[in-house]
Amino acid sequence: MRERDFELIKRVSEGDQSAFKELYDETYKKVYFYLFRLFKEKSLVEDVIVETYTEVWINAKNFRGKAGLLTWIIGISRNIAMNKLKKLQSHESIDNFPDIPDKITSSETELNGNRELIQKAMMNLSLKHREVLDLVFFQEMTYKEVSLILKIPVNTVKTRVFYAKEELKKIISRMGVRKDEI
Amino acid sequence: MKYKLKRLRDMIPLYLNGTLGKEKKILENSLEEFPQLKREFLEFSEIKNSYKEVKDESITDSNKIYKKILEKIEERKLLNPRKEYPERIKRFISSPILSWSIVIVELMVIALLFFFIYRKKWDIEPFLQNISLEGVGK
Repeated sequence: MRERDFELIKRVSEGDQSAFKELYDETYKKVYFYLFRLFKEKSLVEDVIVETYTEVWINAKNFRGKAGLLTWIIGISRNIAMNKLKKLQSHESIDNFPDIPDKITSSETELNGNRELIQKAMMNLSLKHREVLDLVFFQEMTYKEVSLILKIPVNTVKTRVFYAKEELKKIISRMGVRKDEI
Repeated sequence: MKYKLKRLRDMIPLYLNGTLGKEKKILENSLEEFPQLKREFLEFSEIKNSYKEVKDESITDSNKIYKKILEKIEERKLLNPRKEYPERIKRFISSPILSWSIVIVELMVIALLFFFIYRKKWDIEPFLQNISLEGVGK
């Protein structure tokens, strides 16, 4: 895969448009979902995607293979999206949330197995927690890849995943759903 | 034990997303040993499974966005930015002759600088000697 990544991006950097289309077709859906689940705003997502792939075309020669191609592209899209949001002044920087010190906690609420309910609750998670869960469970990335995208240490990624789960449990509990209601 | 549990706990999301390597077996064997770990495992499994409910109805037609991307690239005149130089020029740029020529020119510049600096010094030295001798005479 990694070798193929290099081959594909090399062709893109040489100006091969068919390679660019191939790269786009392979990654578009995942990048779209990442942005859409994060920002829930279709027009913003489309704008960011256009800018992202334009940057990919320009900077293809700078791809060093530190992470996979998808990780690199999602990283670019995240930077663009954050800058856009800052300009719109409609969000709080998601990195400003403090991470709670790491310890194993046991919450009184359990996740109750209702997939749709979990997804609904997930859309009420804070941006930084939803993002980390999406990257790990939906994009199926390693901690290292997530840390490269979010520009935070690997250990912070690990704790963030666990606190995202704890927050999710609290949200489900606030939604007032008991196991026997499902 | 807490350390071990923490390490094992960190493995759960990677186990579920399929990126955990050799440590898979270690985690599997530990699940029965630590009930707390098993509970975490089940909770994460539910989160992972919930992603199966994510629908792609909202996704915009990829070709429509691709067209916009090409327009944007064209707008920034990036579609044909790579100017191809003739083979002769390419060979000249990458030849060792050019590198050595640059080194020689640099050395010549340094030598000239030294020459001018020291020539000035030599010019004023006799003058300085005269002054000091006059001082001694008095």
